Amino acid sequence: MTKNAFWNDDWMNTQRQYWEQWNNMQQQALGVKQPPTNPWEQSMEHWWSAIQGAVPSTGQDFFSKMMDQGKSYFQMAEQAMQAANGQENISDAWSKMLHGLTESFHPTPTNDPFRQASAFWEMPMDNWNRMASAMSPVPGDTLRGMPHGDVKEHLDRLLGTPGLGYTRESQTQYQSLMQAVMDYQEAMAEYALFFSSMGEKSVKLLQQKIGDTPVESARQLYDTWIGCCEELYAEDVITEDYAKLHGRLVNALMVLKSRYGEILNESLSTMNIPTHDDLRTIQIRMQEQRRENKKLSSEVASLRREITKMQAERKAAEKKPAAKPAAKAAAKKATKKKAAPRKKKAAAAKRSTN
Amino acid sequence: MINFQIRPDKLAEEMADYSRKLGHGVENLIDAGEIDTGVTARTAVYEEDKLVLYRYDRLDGVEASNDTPLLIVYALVNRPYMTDIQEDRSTIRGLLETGQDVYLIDWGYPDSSDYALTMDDYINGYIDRCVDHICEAHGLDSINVLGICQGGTFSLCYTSMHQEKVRNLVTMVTPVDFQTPDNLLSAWVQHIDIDLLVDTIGNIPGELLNWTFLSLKPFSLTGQKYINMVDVLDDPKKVKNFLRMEKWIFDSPDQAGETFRQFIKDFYQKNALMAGEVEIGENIVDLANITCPVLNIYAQQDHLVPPDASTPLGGLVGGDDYTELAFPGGHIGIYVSGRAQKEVTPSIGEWLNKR
Repeated sequence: MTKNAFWNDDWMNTQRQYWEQWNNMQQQALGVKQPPTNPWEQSMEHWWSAIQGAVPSTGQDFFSKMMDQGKSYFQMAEQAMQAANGQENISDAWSKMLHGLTESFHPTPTNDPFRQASAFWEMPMDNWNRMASAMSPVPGDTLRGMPHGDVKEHLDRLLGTPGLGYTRESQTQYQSLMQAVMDYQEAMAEYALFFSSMGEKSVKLLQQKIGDTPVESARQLYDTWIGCCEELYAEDVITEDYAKLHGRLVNALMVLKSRYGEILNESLSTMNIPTHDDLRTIQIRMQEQRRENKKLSSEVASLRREITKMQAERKAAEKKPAAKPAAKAAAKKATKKKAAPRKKKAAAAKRSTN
Repeated sequence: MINFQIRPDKLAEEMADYSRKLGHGVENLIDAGEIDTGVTARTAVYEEDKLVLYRYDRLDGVEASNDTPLLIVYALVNRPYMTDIQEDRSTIRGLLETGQDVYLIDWGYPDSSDYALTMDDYINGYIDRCVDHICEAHGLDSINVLGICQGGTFSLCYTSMHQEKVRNLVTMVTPVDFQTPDNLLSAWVQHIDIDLLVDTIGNIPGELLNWTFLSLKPFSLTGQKYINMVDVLDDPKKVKNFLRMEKWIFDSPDQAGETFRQFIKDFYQKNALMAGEVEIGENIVDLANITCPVLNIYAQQDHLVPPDASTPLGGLVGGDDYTELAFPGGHIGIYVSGRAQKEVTPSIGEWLNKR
């Protein structure tokens, strides 16, 4: 055991076993049964499930991502190794692997060894599903596996049938909801297909990028692959076609959500519970009142400042008259002082005349 | 022929190495504990609804070099602690070191009661009242404003409508032309029915914004960076820094529905700021009304706000004192990279101190 409580040397034994299995595979002839699972991945899963509880929640998601990405990048190299099994020229095996990868992007039933590598291109789709899940009552990928292409035409006709009788309005709402479900499903399929076609191109680009450069590690292969994916992705998603596709996907989800909302509103209304529309009205009115209150508060504050200023001016003005008598007295005194000499002079003049 | 030289023993060795790093990294992950955000001491000086206006404490030993306070207006998207994410990577700290008196608006987390907040409420309401508060506290008629990203666009609108209250304006990674050919975000929103979106979901959830931002580079941002992280898991400091950044990336407040509606429709879909046709409250935003000195900083490798989206500002403002600063980095690197600490904040401080 090492000092680290979350790591032990048994791990290294697992790795050794894995290495031995690979060597055995190399030695075995083509067609010999392969190990049923990836021991690295399996032991990693065991290890992670054992210690997961001790890791703070803030770090769990982060660590899971590192585990998942580790799997992705080793799977890729591993597939190349699987393709190399029993062949004399490992480069031929590599070409075989790339060919297999290309094939995997064609929309056929996916039961091939390259499923995981092609799934890598589902990352944008997966991100979308997570986001859609956060905004829907059902998981984001609920509709993805459901058949829609074959039945869509029939359903379109069926859903176009006008509602009849007392529940006509309700029938229309549900028809509208079903139509929205189908439209969203179609938009998701288009979106997935877009990435599928990009995946195929990325394999070709990977071949070009690698060229004559020796590929010496899984990491090198993974990084090059990521670079190719990002390059192609950046080129394709800036196009008008993608912008429209992206818009259709978001709009289709919103229409679906909106239809759900209408039916939910109806149900809430019948139970005399405030609906989404009621809440929206309250939100708008509340903001209008808040705005009005702020405006009034601002005006009151402004008026207070004005009043304070005016009061100060008035006080100052009131003080002025009080200051005047003092000034007058001072002025009088000064006049008296000035007048005194005159008086003296006058007195002197009077005396001299006497 | 491809020169493929991964041997089974090499692959097993790589796997063992990866596993070992992960195993040892768990210790650091557990020790990381709670992730703190915002490191510089500050005081809340004004609060209104969910908004808090903070004033940062001056740093010991740094003399005030500018009597005009600086108000930072951050974007509504993501949280403003990006500007103060860690002690050695802090735009706020950098500005304090240049002697600025720094204020920052924290918009908080809007909830459904904030759905009907409009751009008029944000700009002519919240920002204006914060500016008034600072002006009154300092006995000034005008202050300096630094707008970041969407906050930069808001600051431009504000200055255009209240030029007399802004002495100097700094914009960082701020979009002005929202329809440049390399603007992915802009391309993606052109066909979205924004009215349908807002009418249906009200406030725009942070998850939708996260998805959009991650979709800009999905393979690097949701995959490769975690593989790269394994290489530094043995460094507790780097683990903590990574987790801090990770927290910020996914800490996306919801957006008030009505503000989002106007921002996307008028700015992204109509590009109305360029045309001088944005209406906010009872005003038309004309960038030619901005006559104060302007420092416009953009990042050369910015994939969210490409340089071409920022640089048209020079031809639109009405004043003569317009300066541009190009930073060789990305949208986030402009706040957190080591180079940004050495180049960006000192340049802002120097520019402001001269005016």
